[in-house]
Amino acid sequence: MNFESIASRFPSEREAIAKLREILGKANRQEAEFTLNRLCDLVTPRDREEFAIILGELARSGLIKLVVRVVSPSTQGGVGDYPSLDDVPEVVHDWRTDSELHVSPENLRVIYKAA
Amino acid sequence: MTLPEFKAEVDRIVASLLRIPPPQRRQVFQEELEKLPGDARETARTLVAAAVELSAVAQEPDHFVLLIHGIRTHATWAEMVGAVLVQDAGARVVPLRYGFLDLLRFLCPVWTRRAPVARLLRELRDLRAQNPTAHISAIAHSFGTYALTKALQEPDIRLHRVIFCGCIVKDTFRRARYAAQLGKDPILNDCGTHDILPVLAKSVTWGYGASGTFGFGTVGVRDRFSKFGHSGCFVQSFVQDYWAPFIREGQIRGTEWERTRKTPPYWLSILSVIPLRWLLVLLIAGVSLFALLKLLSRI
Repeated sequence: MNFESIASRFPSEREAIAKLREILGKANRQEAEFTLNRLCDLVTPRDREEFAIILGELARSGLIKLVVRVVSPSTQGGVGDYPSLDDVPEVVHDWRTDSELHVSPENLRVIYKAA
Repeated sequence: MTLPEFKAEVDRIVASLLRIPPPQRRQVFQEELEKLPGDARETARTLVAAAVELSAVAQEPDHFVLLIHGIRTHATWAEMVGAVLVQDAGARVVPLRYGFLDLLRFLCPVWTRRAPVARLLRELRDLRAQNPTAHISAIAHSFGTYALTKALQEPDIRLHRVIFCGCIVKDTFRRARYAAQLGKDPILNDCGTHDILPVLAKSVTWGYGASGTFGFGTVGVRDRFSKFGHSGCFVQSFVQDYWAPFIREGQIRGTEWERTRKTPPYWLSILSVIPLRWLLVLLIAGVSLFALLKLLSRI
């Protein structure tokens, strides 16, 4: 699986996939990270839901990395990254406010990174 | 919604989607997402999409490319070719190694060529057994081309796409004989107009041909000429520009050299028809006879 084969399966998003490939190619692998919203702003897909599915394909094929981030409800800043939803604990120390955070779905963000 | 409830809900959606065929999943996926509260929906969408195949288009079968090397080498090119094909053709690459085949075993027309062919057959059958629905293609170089055509004589060997380079297969080879075992694309034979080794191989021993220099000129094989020697095709830009499109979608791009090249040197054509092997046989016979006569004269 590569960007070409994914583009052939999602022809309506071929341009968005090409832009995404360019962005990931330029990205600093350690620092560059994107939410779905940010990527949609950057690559302007025709269909946001379709694009989320494409990102899922890329994540499953290892061309992009995905982490689940717990964010502080008060600052919206990240307080912990986890490789999958199953790894997210129910309670996390929110170091931004020095308090215990009982994690709920609204505290979760999916973050994409260059593989 | 609590985190455990959310995890359970995502797991349930994933499990329910996996129970139905991929083309029908999108509809169910949308319906399931609608049931989630707004905050959770976006996260669930991305997580489920990363866990389950949701494309309405059927996924292409896995595509393996077997790399088969020549003699007197451990095929250090395999890693470079493999990396390019993984990236540019979406293929899974299997470099095959059958050990260091020396020149004597290469030249000897009996016995010694069997072991690499047997090993290749074993690998092809293992790969097929583990991946019964996959496409299996092959890129063979030099002696690897000979071994591959020998392997094709077994009717259970099926290949999707084939590339030859530095080919030493006899030019009497006919693709039509293997039509049922090969995909619809022609065999791509990358010939080096400066490659003298196939000509020498044809001349000095039995069983080989100069098809890597002059091409096959037969239906179902696309002879593509480039200005290089025996291993000149193992350059990253060549693999990216000429092999990856063929492996990926059967696309054959012509080279600039094909349009401008001149007739091969006359001496090369002459060498290809001079059976130096018989001179070698005469030489060996002469030396043996001389030694025998010498021995008899002493008795």
